[in-house]
Amino acid sequence: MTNAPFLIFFAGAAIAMAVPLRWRNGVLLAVPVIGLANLLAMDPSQQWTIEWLGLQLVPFTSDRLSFIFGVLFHIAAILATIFAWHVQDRPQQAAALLYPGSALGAVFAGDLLTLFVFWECLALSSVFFITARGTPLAIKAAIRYLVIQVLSGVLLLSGTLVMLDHSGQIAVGPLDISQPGAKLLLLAFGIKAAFPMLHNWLTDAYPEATPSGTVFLCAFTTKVAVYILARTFSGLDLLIYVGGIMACFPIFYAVIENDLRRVLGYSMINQIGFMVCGIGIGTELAVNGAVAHAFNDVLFKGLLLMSMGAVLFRTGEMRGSELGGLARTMPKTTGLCIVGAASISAFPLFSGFVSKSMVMAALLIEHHEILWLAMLFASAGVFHHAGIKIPYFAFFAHDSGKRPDEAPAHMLVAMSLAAVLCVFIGCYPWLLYSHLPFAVDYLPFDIPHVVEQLQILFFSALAFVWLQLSGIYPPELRSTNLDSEWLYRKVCPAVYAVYYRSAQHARKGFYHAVTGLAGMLTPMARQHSYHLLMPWSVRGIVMITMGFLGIILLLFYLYSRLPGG
Amino acid sequence: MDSLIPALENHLPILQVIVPLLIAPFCMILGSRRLARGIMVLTAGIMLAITLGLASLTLQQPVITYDLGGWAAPWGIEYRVDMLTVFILFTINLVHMLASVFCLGRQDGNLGTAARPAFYTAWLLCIAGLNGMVVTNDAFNVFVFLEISSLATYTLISCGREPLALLSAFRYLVAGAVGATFILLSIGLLYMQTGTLNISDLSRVIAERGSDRTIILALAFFIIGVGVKCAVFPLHDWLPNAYRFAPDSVTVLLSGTATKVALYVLIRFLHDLFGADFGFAEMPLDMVLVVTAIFGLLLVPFIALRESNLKRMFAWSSVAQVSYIVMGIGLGTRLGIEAALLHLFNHAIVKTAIFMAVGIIIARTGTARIRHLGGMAHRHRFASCIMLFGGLSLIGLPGTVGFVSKWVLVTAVVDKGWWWLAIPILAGSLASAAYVWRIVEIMWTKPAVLKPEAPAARLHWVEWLPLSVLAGLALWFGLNASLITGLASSAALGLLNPGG
Repeated sequence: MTNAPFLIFFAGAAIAMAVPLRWRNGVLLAVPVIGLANLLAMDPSQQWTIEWLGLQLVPFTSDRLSFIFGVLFHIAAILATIFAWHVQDRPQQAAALLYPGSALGAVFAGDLLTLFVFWECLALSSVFFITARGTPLAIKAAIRYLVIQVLSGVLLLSGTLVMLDHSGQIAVGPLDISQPGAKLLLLAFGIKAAFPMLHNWLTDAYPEATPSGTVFLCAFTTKVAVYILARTFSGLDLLIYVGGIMACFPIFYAVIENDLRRVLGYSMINQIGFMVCGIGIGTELAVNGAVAHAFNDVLFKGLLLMSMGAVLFRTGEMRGSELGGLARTMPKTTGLCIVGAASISAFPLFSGFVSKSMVMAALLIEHHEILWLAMLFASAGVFHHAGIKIPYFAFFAHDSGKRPDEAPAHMLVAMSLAAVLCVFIGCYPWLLYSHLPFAVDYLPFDIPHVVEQLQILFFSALAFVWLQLSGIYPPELRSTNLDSEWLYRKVCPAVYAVYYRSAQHARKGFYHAVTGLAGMLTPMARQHSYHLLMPWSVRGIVMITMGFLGIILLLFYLYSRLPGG
Repeated sequence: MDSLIPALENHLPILQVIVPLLIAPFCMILGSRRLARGIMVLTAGIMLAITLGLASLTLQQPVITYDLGGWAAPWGIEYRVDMLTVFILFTINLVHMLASVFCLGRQDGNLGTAARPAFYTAWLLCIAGLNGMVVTNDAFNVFVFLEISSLATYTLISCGREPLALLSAFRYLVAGAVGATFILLSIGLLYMQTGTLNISDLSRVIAERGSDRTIILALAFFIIGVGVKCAVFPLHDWLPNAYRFAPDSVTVLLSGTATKVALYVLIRFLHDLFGADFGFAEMPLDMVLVVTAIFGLLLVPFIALRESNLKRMFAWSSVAQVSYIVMGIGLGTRLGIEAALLHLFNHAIVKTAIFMAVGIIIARTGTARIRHLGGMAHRHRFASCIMLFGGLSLIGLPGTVGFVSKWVLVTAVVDKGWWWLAIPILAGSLASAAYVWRIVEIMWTKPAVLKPEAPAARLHWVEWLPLSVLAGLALWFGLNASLITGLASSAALGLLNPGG
């Protein structure tokens, strides 16, 4: 007897909220473990259908693609829950089950309407990780985050409606971009996947979350988007170029950024770029590479964010300019962070290498040489900002004088588990390969791949060292970097202000037009002006009523005079 | 007894109206507040039972007609009950039942002179008039019942504790009187041209002789007159203050019944009396209604966003929600009416629940100013949670009833080919999210402004019971949408194909 994963998580959330605090963490950890057992025992071909308002909905269906993401999300939930063992506030603890549950619901959804429901659940449940930080900055970032995520949901719903009206089909499956509504869906997915210019919610909100909240956040939202892109727009050429841009542009921001978690946020966009590019190529090798990279990214990015979370937890500080020299008192965290850094930089025998190289190989096979070069640049950049910058500025560099304690035991356990998985997949990728959507005929550890990767790594390490020594490297400054988020931070409020003023004017104008008309008849009405919110006078109400009657009569009169009317 | 029930069964349509009408004076004559309140709740129960009886009859026989005093239809007054009638009767009598129970707990709340037994007489007269407007098939009778319910409503509103209640009631009286006069003018014009007052008969005569300028004039007067009673933007301005200053229980009753019945009259007259061909094909009625609805649902949320009083903010939200219903009616299609009916029902239960929750919070804290509500959610958990749930339904979040009706409305506009209307609908939803979120933010995250009232008064059963029933219904209909959509759809079908 197996059950839909999201039901287990949602029921678990209800139970966790009901039990006393000292049992709650146990429930939080037990749920994903039980869920994982349930998933592994699941009949892979089962499907639920329900009828809703005459539509055939499929709230749960499963295949190889959703299975691998399902396993990934369970593992991520387990790791993040262990890492968050110290958290004691209810909203975050509820979100720790609701948020992964929504992500699982989304990857096992068989139709777009169900997907929309879980899409919105993802947005609503995840925002608690940001608001729980409690700082004014975090609350504001959370509101911006929520608005954008809900906007993405609205676009998804609009696209679904257009498709439903046009073809009556809303199953989640391969889509043609020329299909009506498909562009709306792509835009909705693009927001969640942090496409360039749509990415600011990520670098805006993730660094403002709580130490453990960011670990949760990094695992689910964007990976759901990667999953759905792989499911619907696999082989769409546009995505190759979008992915290329995504992989390259964040590097520049990451290098000058001071907040180390924001650096990782940019690095996340860069990694998603590799996945989106793989999906865009659309060959079996490329999609396998994208999925495998999504799997690995959750683990090594999770590991890096956990190590940064531990630093934040111990020091309360995340700015590179204020940190440094922590390796003396946090040696274990330092070591684990370096494992994560090696994985993300795709050192051979670490997990990033076995998946990223699949996408690179697919690019070459499909003759996208220029993009291949761009991706090489991006790979070098990853090593630069995530592989070296993160551990170097946090744990080495100039001594900040801070002497925090080693990370708490539960954090070390979670980080160690993630590190073990990174190394295991890096050394023995075949277990992961055997569960990818397509059969894998690919050997990562041949001479050209290894040599090519090592060359990139050593030369970019050389560049970093040379830049540091020569003093050209951008120093860590307390600064705010301008990204395209000013579009919605500055322009949108201005547009709203204009809209509000014009709405006010329109209403006043309507009122004045009517009273002005009446004023010709009754001179009494002239002396009054009314504020927007104040109730109109009794005379005002009657005037408006008469004015409206006049308009309708005029309209009806004109219509009745129309030929044939 | 066996012979009594079939005998009563034949008279159910008139009993629906006559029972509250006859019982009403007794509340005053008996002179005891306690007795009056018992009678009120009992009557509400009987009326709901009669509605359920009528519902079971319409299952066997789609249209029930009842000739008053045995006078046959075109000359005598005829009562007519079909699926649509039952749908509305069920909505208002359900709300009335729960509002009556809620009213029991309000003696020391926002109630001044309302403790007098006359209050309950006015209450029963109001609901009798509303029921009468629904069951009657006689145009002039509609006006009579409209006046009965309106006069009773003015009285009820003026019972509010604050002095401004009187002014609000007066403003509503003027606006309502203008509206009622317009409706009377419209009916008079129709009578002048056709010589009949029976709605079915009127429709037949208009279809036979075609429209002329007098009937066009009658339509214009009718739209404006009933628009005032529905609070269609921009004829809405009586509503926010009337709701704000009325006693809490009266706000609860009015929000779920009064505007809803006016909307029913709008649907009934447009389709059964004037005929859809005349209103929507010959006259640009769809344009008039849809354009006013767009203005309403885009402008009003921004007024609500600036509102400083909790009760009036939700009253503004009622104006915005009426716009959705009017948009559904304005489409003129079967799906449009279905959407309108669904939204009508959903809004009736959700807004009733919200105003109950607001009433509970106001009674406990003694204030309705939004900025005084900081941190109140932690002190009045149950009421705040219901308010939040209702707010989410106003936004139209999936899983709530609001989503179902907005979904059907969007389907209806797409079906008519006016897909661009989906943009204001969704924009309106986003805008309502803004004002609901503002309340949530203040009540849940802001520090408390007011000192906690001495011992936190526990919720009485007359407070939590109706609230739980409404919230349960809202949740149930949100998750199991097919039942209520099926009802609305067959009601809309019965309206467009009578007898079919």
